[in-house]
Amino acid sequence: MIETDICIIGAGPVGLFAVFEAGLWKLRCHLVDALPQVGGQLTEVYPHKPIYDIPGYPSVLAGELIKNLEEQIAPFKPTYTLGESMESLTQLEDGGFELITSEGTRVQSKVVVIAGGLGVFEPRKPALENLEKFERKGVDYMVKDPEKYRDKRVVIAGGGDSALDWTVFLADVASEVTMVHRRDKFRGALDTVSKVEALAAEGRIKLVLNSQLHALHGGEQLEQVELTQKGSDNVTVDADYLIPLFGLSPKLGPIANWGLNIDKRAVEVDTRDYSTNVPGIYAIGDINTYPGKLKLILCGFHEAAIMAHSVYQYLNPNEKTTLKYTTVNGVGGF
Amino acid sequence: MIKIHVTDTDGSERSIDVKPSRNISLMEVLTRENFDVPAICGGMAGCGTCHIAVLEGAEVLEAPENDEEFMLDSLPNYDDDSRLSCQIPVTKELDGMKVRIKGDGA
Repeated sequence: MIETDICIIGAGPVGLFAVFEAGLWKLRCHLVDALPQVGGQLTEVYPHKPIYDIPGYPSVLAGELIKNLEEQIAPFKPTYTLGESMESLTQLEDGGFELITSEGTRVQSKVVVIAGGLGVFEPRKPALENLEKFERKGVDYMVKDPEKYRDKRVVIAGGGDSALDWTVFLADVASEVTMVHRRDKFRGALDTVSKVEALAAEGRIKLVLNSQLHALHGGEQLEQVELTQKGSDNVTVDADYLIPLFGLSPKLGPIANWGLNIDKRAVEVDTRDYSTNVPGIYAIGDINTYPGKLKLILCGFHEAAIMAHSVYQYLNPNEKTTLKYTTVNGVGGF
Repeated sequence: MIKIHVTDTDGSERSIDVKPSRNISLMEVLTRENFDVPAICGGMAGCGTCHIAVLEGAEVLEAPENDEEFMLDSLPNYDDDSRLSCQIPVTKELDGMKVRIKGDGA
C-alpha cells in the first residue's frame, strides 16, 4: 500500500508541475499514469515538436520540457506508478481516498488530483467482428513480456514504429513472425525499416504488404488470421497470436464513474480552486472545464499552483497560510 | 461562402457554409460546427481523431505531407479516401466537397 498526501492521476506536464507546487506546501505526491513513461501526450504524441508558448522559453521541444519538469520536481521526491491506469476510487471514513490501479496497486491519499489530460491512452482496435472474443486468447494489443511469444506463431499488424520494432525483436523469439501492412511502403524510422526488409529477404519473417486484417478464426483460442490483399484472393495465416499495433487513443476511462460532474469529455471544476463537486478531488489541466477554459499547458500550470494552496487549506483548515516565494526561501525539498 | 456537405459519425448529414481561408483547417470548422470530431491533439496530425473520408472533391486537395501520411498509416480504419481534416486548409476550391467523419477507429 502506497500512502501519500496527494495522488496525482496523470503524469503529463501539468501533473508533474503539480508536484512542485504541492511540494512548496510540504505536501508529498504520488503520480500514476497509464503510459510506461512520464510526459503524457508530450512524450507519447509529439516529443520532437517545438512548443512556443511556455513563458520564458522562446521555443522548447515537448520532450525537453518534460525532462526539465522532472528535474524541477526532483527535490520533492515524487513517487510513481507507471504503466497502470487508475481503475477505482473509494472515499474513506476519514475523508481520504483509496485508489486501485488496473494492476491492483493500492494508493491511499488525503486528496486526489486528476491531471489526466486527454484521458487514458488505450490501444486502437481494428474493426473485426469477433475481435473481443479472442482478446487475451491470442489477441494482444501490446507486448508486455516478449517471452510469452517464444516459439509461437505471431502475426503483427500495423505499419508504424512499434509494429516495426516488435517485428525485429520477435523475429529472434517467435517461431514465425508475419507482419501485415496495408501499404507497400513503411514510414517508420529508416534503420528499422531496412532491418525489417532484410529479415524478410532472409526469410526470417514473412512480410505481407498491401493487406489488411479481415477475419479471425479459432475455437477457444485464436488459430488463424485471414487477410485481404489488394488485387488477389484472401490469405489465411496460422497463428497463435495476433498483435495489432495501431497506436493509442485517449479515452476518459474509469473517472467517468467516480460521481464527478462531467461535461462532454471534461471534469467540471470551480475556478476558485479547481476543486470538483466531490470534496477532496481536484482536476487540473486539459481534463477540466470551466467557463473560459483554454487547453494550454501554461493554464494548467496556473491551475496547479492555485490547487496546491487550496489543498493545503483543505487539509489544515485552522491554519493561516502565507505564500512563500522560492526566490526568498529557495526550493527546500523533503 | 463555400458549402461543404458533412456526414457525421452517427450517419446524420448536414451542409455547412464556410468563409474560405488558408488559415483555418477543415477540422476547426467541423469542431466549431459541433460535429463528432474530438481533435484532441489540437491539429498537429498527432491523434487521428479528425480522420475523414473525402467522398467527393478529393482531386482539389494537395497531397498529404509526411506527418499526415504517418498518422493515417497507423489508423485501423484507414482507406484510400482517408485524410486528416486538421491538415486541410479551407480554401475556396473545397466548395461542394462531400466528407464523412470516420474518427480514429478506437
